[in-house]
Formats: sequence, structure tokens, C-alpha cells
Amino acid sequence: MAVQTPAISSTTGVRRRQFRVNPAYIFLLPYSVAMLMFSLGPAIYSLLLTFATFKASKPQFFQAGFKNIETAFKDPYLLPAFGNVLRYLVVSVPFGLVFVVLLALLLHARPNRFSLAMRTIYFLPGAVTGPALVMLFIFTFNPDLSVFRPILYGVGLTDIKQVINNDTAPVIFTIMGFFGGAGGWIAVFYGALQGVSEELIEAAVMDGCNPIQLAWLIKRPLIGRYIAFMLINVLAGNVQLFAEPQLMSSVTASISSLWSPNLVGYNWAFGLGNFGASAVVSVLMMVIGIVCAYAVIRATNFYSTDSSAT
Amino acid sequence: MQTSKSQQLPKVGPFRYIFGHNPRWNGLSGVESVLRLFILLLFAAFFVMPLVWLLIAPTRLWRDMYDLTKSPLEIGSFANYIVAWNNIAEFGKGLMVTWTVNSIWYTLTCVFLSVAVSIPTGYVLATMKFKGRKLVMWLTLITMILPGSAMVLPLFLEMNLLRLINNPWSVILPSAFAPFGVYLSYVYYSVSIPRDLLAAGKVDGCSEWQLFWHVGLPLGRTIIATLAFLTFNGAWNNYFLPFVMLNHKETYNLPLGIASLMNATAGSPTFLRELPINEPEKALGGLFMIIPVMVIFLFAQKYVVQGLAAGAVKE
Repeated sequence: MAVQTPAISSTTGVRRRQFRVNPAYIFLLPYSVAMLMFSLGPAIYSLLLTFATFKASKPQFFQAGFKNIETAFKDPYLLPAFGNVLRYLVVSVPFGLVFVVLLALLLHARPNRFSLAMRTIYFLPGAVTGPALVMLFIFTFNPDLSVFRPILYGVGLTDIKQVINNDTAPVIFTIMGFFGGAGGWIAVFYGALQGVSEELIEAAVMDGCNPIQLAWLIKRPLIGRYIAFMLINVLAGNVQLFAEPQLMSSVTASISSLWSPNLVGYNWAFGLGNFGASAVVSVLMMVIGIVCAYAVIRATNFYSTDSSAT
Repeated sequence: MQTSKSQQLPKVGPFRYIFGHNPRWNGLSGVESVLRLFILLLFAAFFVMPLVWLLIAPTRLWRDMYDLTKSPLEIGSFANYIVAWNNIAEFGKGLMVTWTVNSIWYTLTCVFLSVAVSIPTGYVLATMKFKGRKLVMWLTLITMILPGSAMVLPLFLEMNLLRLINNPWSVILPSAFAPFGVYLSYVYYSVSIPRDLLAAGKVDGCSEWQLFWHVGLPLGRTIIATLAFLTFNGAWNNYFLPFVMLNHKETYNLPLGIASLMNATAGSPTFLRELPINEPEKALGGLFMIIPVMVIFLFAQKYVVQGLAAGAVKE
């Protein structure tokens, strides 16, 4: 990117007509290289590794047949890990959806400064992610330390192992995810609700619409697309759980260190040195991602934007 | 995003803002108003209390924190913040400072690279005609959705081949690849750029580069801010990739550092703690990671929300 002529000299109109590559390609070069090196390349490489064996830590492509896939699925930990994530999804997705929509609607029932303040309060914990989030909740779920100690003791939870263990993990991760993620989506929905015209709401109220009818019949359809988008995002994101169970297990030792598929994949590669089986997990994650991508296209009409660029 | 309706609401006192019956938005009865308020405040408590606890924690002594006769929100002495800081600062001979500096430079480099690559790409996809444009868009869509965690293993093997393991670039470069940023700026430019202006510029002999520099870039300020924020957030909090790539404590970023702080005394029974790394120190370490992002969240709420919603917006 070297063509640095000073300001636009509008009248001279000098045109250079030497070897002209379409400048678009020069603009695109860095992006294409990055895409090949850090995304498409690795993706294809995982696919290849799925069918490769390793000899003296050099991959022998196409030598494994379906052996790695067999190893992966016969493994006693992979399917249970998918089971764990599935249980987590079953808890977290409906819980997140219901409360995010409820809070957005409640805020919007009276959009004033108080509502905006609440929205900001819900939003701020979004800054807490990864290890910081895990740490905060190891403290918050420890009945002796917790800011919610009276509640935890009140319901008979007096030891951290009663709160955090393999059975409660889906609920634990749901609460953590909601704490960190809900505020952003509430703000998105709240913003979308502001597209509802005041006249429409006034008219509905005049016609005797009660607040619940108002929310369900008039406001909900307006945020339907955002809801679909959130669902897909949450689904795709939650399957990839890694930091939370990994840290919970290493710090509190009360959650299995192979709780999620990514942990099983990590252990294969870096614990057992079986890159082939680990690649199977990567490929499974990609397949899930691509299925979700398809759903995104369907839900948001990605290519409808294309007609405007000619 | 639509403009905020609250700006158009009639001016009333603070009390009526919270409890009052605003005639233009009525439809809630008294009981319903109280119920609404109760639910909103209940969730506010859920979101705020752990953060308040975290801010207070470094003011207390760890033995006091386990004292069940004391309130979990008892404020100790602010001098303890300094004690906790000295303890972390000593941990591994100043590792905390190293991690913070690492995090800052990894993150800023990442933000710069991703903006420098993604914005021009989105601009080109939106404004220029060339062979292969559809292909680039399809690949962008696909790579946008490929989950980052699925890339970690093959990236590790690739970086191993390039002899970049334990080198910060093994984390910075992959994290700077931002197909989502390309998508954002593509959508933005295909809606907002005045085509006549570009055509006029070309007639006057402007090169594509000059057009981008003088028209595209200034127009794209919002989208640059949104992308910068998203990349900042991702890079600052990045854990899985550095966890695999960086094994020397001197190369850790803050998330890895916090994790090793947490593990420093993990499992050791409280009466056997040797290192002075206890709850107050860990909490302070966590605040190091959280506060910069929170400050940005407060001032850039608009961009964050835009970034989140962008995937769902077409216009």
C-alpha cells in the first residue's frame, strides 16, 4: 500500500496506465493471506488430520482411515462430554431467552432514565469474562465467602462442593453465562423495541390492550429476528465451553477435567499426544458451527445486503 | 439503531420517573408497576452484588472473609489494597506487571492489525467490482462462523512448524483475523457510501487508494470504533489460544496470569498457605483484568450494542 499522493488534486486528472492490476486485489491481499493462514488453512488441516496417523511426530496423511474417528467415539469421555454440554444447553438457552426478553420488555414498559440506568447495570458485568468470571464465581458460589451467603446458607448449602459439582455444573455455567452475557442482549432487544412507534402503543392502550397483550402482540414480533439471532449465537458459543470448566476443575477440583468436548480434545492433543483424535473434536465443532451459520443465513438474510452493492 | 425515545419524554421529577404514571406509556396498573420494579431491582442486585464484593475484597484480610460472624460486604481498610498489591507485585518477581504490559501490547497490536486489514477489505467488497468478489464474501461468511476453539489445535501445529510457540505473535496474528469486522464494514459501506461521490472522485483522477483514504475511512469512523472495541474485548480476554501457545510465565497475558494466580494456592488447605496470594490478592488481580474493559463498556455502550446486533441487522 504505497501510493501516497498528497491531497486530492481534483483538476489535473493524471491517469497512470501502466500494468494495472485491479486495485481491489491489492486491498484484499493481506486479508486473503490472513484468511488462509489463520482460518481456512487450519480448518482444512484439521480435516486432513482426522484421517492421518503420526510417525515420529510427522503426520502421515490418509493413513488412518476412520481409525481416529473410531477412537474418538469409543472414548469413554467424549460422548459424556457432549451429554454435559447438551444438558447445559437445555438449561441455559431457555433460561437466558426467557429472562433476557422479560427484562427487556419490563425495561421498555416504561422507557425512562431509571430504565436506562438499569440497562447499564445489567450491561456492565459483560466486562467480566474468562478467568476473571470464573474467579468471581468461585468466590460467589463459596458459601463462606459469597456475597449471597445468607441465601446459600438459608437453603442449606454450606460447602463449595455442594454448590459446584458435576451435577450442578449446567446450572452453575448458566448463571455465570447469564451474569456475563445477558446485559448485552437486553440492550440489543431494548434498542430494537425503541423502533415501536409511540402512536401504535398509545392506540393499543386506548383500545384496551393490557401490558401483557401489548408485550406479546405488538412488541414481541418486532424483536423476533433478534431473538433468533441470539439463540443461534448462544447455541454456537455454549457448545465451545472451555475456560469455565477447565478453570473450575483445576481450581476447585469439583468438576471433571474432561467436562466439555473441547476439554476432551485438548487432553487428547496435549495430554495424550493423539492429534488425530483431537482433530475429530475440532471437526465436530466446525460442523456444529457451519450448521449454525446456515441457521444465521436463514434467520437474518445475510445476502439481502448484496443487491445494494453493484 | 433508532434514536432514544427517552429524549422526547416530558420532563418530570425523579420520583415520578421511577414510580410515576407517565400518561404516554400507561397500561401498567399500580400493582404491576411495583412488581415490575421488584423484578428489575432483584436482577440489578444479582448483577451488581458480586462486583461490589469484588471491589471490597482487597480491603479485607482473608481470614476475616471466612469469618461467618462478619458481613460478606464488610469494608476493611483501604490500606489493605496496598498490601494486596505488594503481595501480587512480589508474586514471581513482578510477573503481574509483566502480564499487564503483555496484555496491553498484545491487545493494542491486535486491534490495530484487525482494523487495518478488515476495514479496507469491507470497503473494497462494498464498492468495487472484480472477479472473485462473491467467493471472498462466501469465505468470509464461512470463516466468520468457524468456531475459534476448533482452530486451536491446527493453529498450534502450524505455529509449531513456524517455530512460533511461546512467541506472542502466535496469539496476536490469529486473533487479529477478523472476518466479522469485514462483514460489518461491508454492510456499513454498502449502505452508507455515496456512490456519486466515488464516481466523481474517479472522474477527477483519484486513485482507489485515495478514495478510500479520503472518503471511505472518514465515513467509517463508527464502524472502526465498533470493530476496535470488539477486537479489544476478544483479545484482552483471550484465554484458550494463549493457554495452548504460551507456556512461559513471562509471555502470559492477564487471563493466563489470573488463572495461574488462582492456581497458586489451589488445593492447599487454608492453614497451610505459604504464598501470600489469598482471596484479596486474587480479587485485585481480577480487577486488573476487568476494570479497563468496564471503563470502555461505560463509554462505548452504543458501539458494543451495535456490534452485538450487527449480525441481525440488514437494512
